[in-house]
This record gives sequence, structure tokens and C-alpha cells, in this order.
Amino acid sequence: MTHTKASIYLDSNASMPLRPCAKETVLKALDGVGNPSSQHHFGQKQQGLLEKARTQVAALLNCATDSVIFTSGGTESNALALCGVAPSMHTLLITKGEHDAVTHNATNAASMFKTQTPVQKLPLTPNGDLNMDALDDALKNIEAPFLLSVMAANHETGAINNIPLIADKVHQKGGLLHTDAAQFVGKTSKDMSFLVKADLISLSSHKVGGPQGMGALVVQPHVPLNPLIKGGNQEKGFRSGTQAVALAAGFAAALEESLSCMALTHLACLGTWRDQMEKALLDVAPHMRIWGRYAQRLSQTSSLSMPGVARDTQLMHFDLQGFAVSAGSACRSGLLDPSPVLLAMGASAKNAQESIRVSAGWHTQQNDIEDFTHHWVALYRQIQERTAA
Amino acid sequence: MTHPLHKETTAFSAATQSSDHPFETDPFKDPLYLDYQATTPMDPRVLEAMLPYFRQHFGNPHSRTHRYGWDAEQATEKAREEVAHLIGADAKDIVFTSGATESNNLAIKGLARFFKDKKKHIITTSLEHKCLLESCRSLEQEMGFRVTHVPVHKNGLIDFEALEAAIKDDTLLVSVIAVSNEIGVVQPLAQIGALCRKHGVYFHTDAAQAVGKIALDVEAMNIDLLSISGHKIYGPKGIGALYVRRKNPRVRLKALLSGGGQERNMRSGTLSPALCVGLGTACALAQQEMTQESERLSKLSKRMLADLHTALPEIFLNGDDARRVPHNLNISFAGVEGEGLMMGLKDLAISSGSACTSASLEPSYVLEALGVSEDLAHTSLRISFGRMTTDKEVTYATKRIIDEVTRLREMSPLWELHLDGISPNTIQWATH
Repeated sequence: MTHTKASIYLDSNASMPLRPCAKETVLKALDGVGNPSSQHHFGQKQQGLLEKARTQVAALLNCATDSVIFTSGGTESNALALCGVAPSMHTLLITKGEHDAVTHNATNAASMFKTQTPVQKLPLTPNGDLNMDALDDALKNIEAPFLLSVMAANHETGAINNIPLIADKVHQKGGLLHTDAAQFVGKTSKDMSFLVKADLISLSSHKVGGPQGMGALVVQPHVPLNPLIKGGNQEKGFRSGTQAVALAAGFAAALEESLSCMALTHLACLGTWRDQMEKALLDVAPHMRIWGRYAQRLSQTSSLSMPGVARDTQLMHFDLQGFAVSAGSACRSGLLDPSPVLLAMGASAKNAQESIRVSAGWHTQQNDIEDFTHHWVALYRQIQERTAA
Repeated sequence: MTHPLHKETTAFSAATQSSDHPFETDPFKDPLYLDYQATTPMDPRVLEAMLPYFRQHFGNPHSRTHRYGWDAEQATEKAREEVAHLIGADAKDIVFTSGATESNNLAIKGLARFFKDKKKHIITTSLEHKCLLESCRSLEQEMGFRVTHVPVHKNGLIDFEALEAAIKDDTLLVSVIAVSNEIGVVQPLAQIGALCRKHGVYFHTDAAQAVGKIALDVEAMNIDLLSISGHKIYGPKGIGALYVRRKNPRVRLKALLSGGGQERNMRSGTLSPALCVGLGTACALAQQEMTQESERLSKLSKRMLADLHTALPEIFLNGDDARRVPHNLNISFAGVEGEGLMMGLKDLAISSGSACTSASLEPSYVLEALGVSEDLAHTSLRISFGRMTTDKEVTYATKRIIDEVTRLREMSPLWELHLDGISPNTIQWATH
């Protein structure tokens, strides 16, 4: 079967299509009536659903059930982690690769510190992961308590940070580690215990194929956390507001499916197809850059530069051809400045301006990637010929 | 082979087919739902409107580079207009949030953080929802704000003179709940708005219980900030909105959640098109049906109240009997223990007050503010009707309440004392 136009969605890092199992769960749960805080039969039933979702999420992440706090999404989880812990910290460190949801909330959080130190931003390696030498330097004379926020996987390049190792280094110095795992979970075959050494873990539902408007923050019991949103003291007082039970149930279902054997096998296939694509592109355009190619990275993400072709030209072209791809983070799309992530990896502004992100999901098939490869090559050749002429 | 994204799903269409009753209840197992102020069931039409956004249009509305993103954005923007229209606002003034709790937190803390160096006084009432009171308390503790709680009259209406007297030179904001979540009293918003405007003070109203239930107009009422909840108006849980006035005067807020800079930088985070469409549709339906619905509910609640009064002596309606929403009855049944009454009425899903505080056994602070005695406050029930409530249900519930109150009063020594004109508070218990 051939695809109709605009039907190949390769922007899963912006938002993963809703998984059928999650859709089914959400719709079923939406028929439920009642406020989970109500004491009557309807309320208890809703609470039962909510706690089932919490148990499911906790089991999948290998953490205690009561450490899972449901939020409205990854951004809120990051804001809660950073601003909620900041008042009891001396210093806050992040990396230059973080998503805006960490970077901007870190600035807000910094204004709440005991000592008014600005946020320290640690550099990345050319591969896109955290520069460990720079981390060691920063930790040498650091005053505890401090908070380091390091994303588990980068949203643009897919580069994975070594969370267990970083956690050990941070804990040795008496600090806390927060990791934004929104892009990591459900997109890697790694065991989720990779994350559990972190003291705070942010999760986003729609990045794993669950519904939008839902997320979670895992908070280990020893972490001193102040709530950001106060009121009826839902979520053990860490996050007030009537919980969206159906969304939590859908999130849990999506997370479970994303970690199933079938999903992990498919992820491995995505990795193979992605590598084939990258090889094919390099054969045609040896000077192109594939960001984070030598890093440990997510198997479904590819960040590609097309020499001599501005990213906006590429995006417009691919959209007309029916491919949904992006320049990087969705929140930044529409902005004209080069990606700060790529710049932090040592990309020139020109190279960064010529790069797009391709990210596959549970719905992606081999011919989707092959089709994209053909179109990329065709565009590249067309521009080459035009410049030669 | 069909592409996984293009498969038509039929398995779930059953979810939208309405049976006899608009939401799935098992008549043999489920109690009768009369707790519409805690949360409302989703209107099937709202769910229907949301469905396409759960599968076909799954894009991130902030993706500017492809059709999936544009489709999603179109949906959220249409929803924004529907929300704005219901309260007489401009679509650009609507900020989507995760719910009314977040809206209230953002309104109070966001405004205070922006103006903290200029004005440090906030005025509110003792009828507010806990999330508003808690937000104010954190400003007192963390930022040295002063908070004045203006008293209310016995009927639950704000003491207007006390409000005017409370406004000082450094008063930043007056925040008054539009419709009480416990007693259903409607505050004189236009009058309060005019007063605030006269004194150059911002006016916020927590309208979670008011939107779609009573007519609201942010221009006529001089409202600067207004909180909206999705699940109180037959929309989904997990979405709400905050109206933030953009001009005359412009309201400035510091965001609680920063990041991608969505929602005019006031609230970052990826919007859920499905939830936005749900809220928008709920608002559009409310706009069409509000007048008829409140007439119908008004008849139902008047009938229940009259029947209860006829059958039961010594029952008291809390809150003004005229200036209240038609779907709320908050009644004290003298001589009956509230928890016991709730236990006896297991076949009715009702509450003793706000859902958020329903686990605690403390009497309602709202009733306390009205001057209801602690004894009587303990005997109170909140009964709230809604779009799906039928005549038959009200008849059944009325009969059950009468029977149960009568039964409990017959067994109650409190009731005997009460009939003899003795209050348990004034009894001199003998010491043995």
C-alpha cells in the first residue's frame, strides 16, 4: 500500500501517537464518574483506578508506589522537581543539553536559593552527552546540599547520559540528582533500573504514546520537596488538584506497552532501519553530520544535517512530500536561532541551521524510513544539481 | 497491509453509544449520583468531540513544521474561543491549565510574584476553596504578604462594607469565589468588580463552580482574572483555564511552570488537544443550554427542599435561599449525626462538603464562617444536581433522606434533647 500525502509521522519526540491500548484505557476510564477524593462509591472506584495506575507505573520503573506523583506533564514534573527542591539547596547545576522546561525552571528555582548562586551549566561532549571531566571539576569543591539536573536522553540527538554513574558521583558529594527522563522511557531497551539511582525522575505520558496532559515525578522518600500547586492536598500534598484519572490510567497502559517484549523488539528494528538510513545518506552526502552518532543514543532518533540546505527549506520540502519532521524541540519550532543543543556539541551555527530531527515511534514501519531516505537523497541531489548548474 | 496509524478502530465506539442513562451506571450496584459539585460525568457529546483527537490528530500543537501540529493547534485555538465566548472574553485572554487548582495557584502566586515589590496585601473571604486559601497562606509565609479574610453574612454573602474597608493603599488583589462549592451562594461579582476597579485593585474570582452555571461577563463585571475547571462542567478532568485580562488594565503574571513558553509564557507545557477540545465543547454546550438547564434544576431543588421541609421539622438550608445556584442544596438536619446519615444513605452519592476535605472529620470551615454552630454543621449534607439528574431520581432521593433522617432521629438521644430545647453544649454533665 502506498501512503497518501502527509501521512508519515516522524516527529515522535515532539509527541508520540497515542497507543491503541492507551486509547482504549482512556476511553473506558472517561466513562467513569466521580472525584477520586470523594468518599462515596463513585469516588472510591475512581481512586481505585488511580492507585492501580500508580502501582503499574511504580512497578515498571522499579520504585516504591508512593514515590510516584502524577502531574500534568513533563514540564510540570520538571518545574516541581527544580522549584520544589531549590529552597533547601545551595547550588543548582544543569547541562547545556537540557530542554527549555529544565533550563527556564532552573532559572526560576535559582531565585529561591539560600545563597544566590546562578545556575551552573555543564558542557557536553561532541557526542552530545554530559562531559564527565567537567562534572568532576564542578563537583570538586561543591558545597552540599546541591541539585544536579541531567536529562536521561536528549530530545534532539537521543544521546543517553550515564545516569547510574552520575548518580554515584553526585551522591558521594552529598548532592541530589534529578533526571528528565521524558525522552528516555519507552524509547530504549535499557532496563528501567538505569534511572532509579536518581533522586527525582520526570516522566511525560505523551512521549511514550500515552495521552497528553499527564506526567509523573518520581520522588525518592529522602528528598525534601515543597509543592508548587497547593490546595486539596491530593498526591500526598505534593500536587493538589483533582487527578485526571483516565489520563493516569492511559499513561500507565502506554508505559506498560512501551516496555513490553514486542515494543522492545520493534525498537531494535527501528535502530537497524535508522542505521541503514544513516549509512545510505552518508554514502550520498559524505559531508553531512549525524549528531550523536558515536554516542549511546535512542534507537529511534536521528539528527541530520544536509550540507548547504537550510533547515526551513528542508522542513517545508518534507512537509509537502508528506513527512512530518522537525527542527528540534517542538516548543522551539518557529524560532529562528540555531539549536542550543547542537551548538553545545560544537556544531557551527551554519551546521546547526542545516539540521533536522527525525524521530520514529511504535507506529513506524521499515518502508516509512526507506521512503524518507529516498526523499532526503532526492532533495539533496536536486539542490546539488541546482548549485552546480 | 494497513498502516498501524490508519487502522479504523471500532472496538471503542461502544464508549460513545449512549445507553438509557448517559453515563454507565449499574442500577443494581451503583448509588444515585447527587454530587455534581465534586465532579460531573462527561457529557457524551463532549467525549464525541474529543475522540478524533485521541487518534487521528495526535500532533503536538506547538509543532510549527507539519500538518499534524497545525491541525492540533487549530483545535486548541477553536476551543480557546469557545471558552472565551462563554465568559465574554477575548480568546487571547485564555490560558489553558491542568485545572482550577492550578488556575487559582497561578492567579494568586503569579500575580503576587510579579508585583511583590510594589504591593503586599491580598483580600479574600473565608468561603474560598482550599487551594485558594493555601495559595494565600504560602504568600504570607514565603513572601511576607498580608492576607485579609473578609467576613460573610449569615446567608453566605460577602460583607460588602467590610470588603471596602479592608482595601488599603498596598492592596494588590481581591479574590472572591463566584459560587461557593459547598453552599452554592452566588456572590455579587459586578458590585465587587466595580469596587475593585474604583480602587485600582485587581479582581480575581474562582469561578470553577460558576462557569456554565450562571451568566458571567468579565467586561460587565470588571473581572481581571477568572479560574475555570473542565470536570465541573461535564468536560474532562485534567484541564482548566485562567482568564487573564490583557488590557484595561493589563494583568501581568509570573509563570509557575516555565519551559517552552506556551500560553503567552504564562504556562509552559504541551497542550492536550483532546482535553482542550473537551473543555471548549463543554463551554459551548453550557452556553446553549445554561438557561433551560438552570430552570429545570431550579424546579427539582425547590421541590426537594419543599418536600423535606414538609416532612421534617428543624432542618435548615445553609446559604441564601434566593442568591444561590439552582443545583445546590446544603442542609443541616438537627439532631442527626452527619456521618451516620451518610452511612445510612449509602445508595446516594452525596457529600458533607468539598470533595478535597471529605476525608477529614472536621466540620466545614465554610459553615463555620456562616456562623452555623459546630453541632449543626456536623449534621449537614451537600446535595448537588446536574444535567443528568432526573425527576425520578429526585423523588427517590427525597424519600430516602426523609426516611433515614426520621429513623435516625427516632433513635437519637440528641434529637430528644433538641426537642426539649436543650443543646448538648449547655448540658452540665454530672461527674461520677
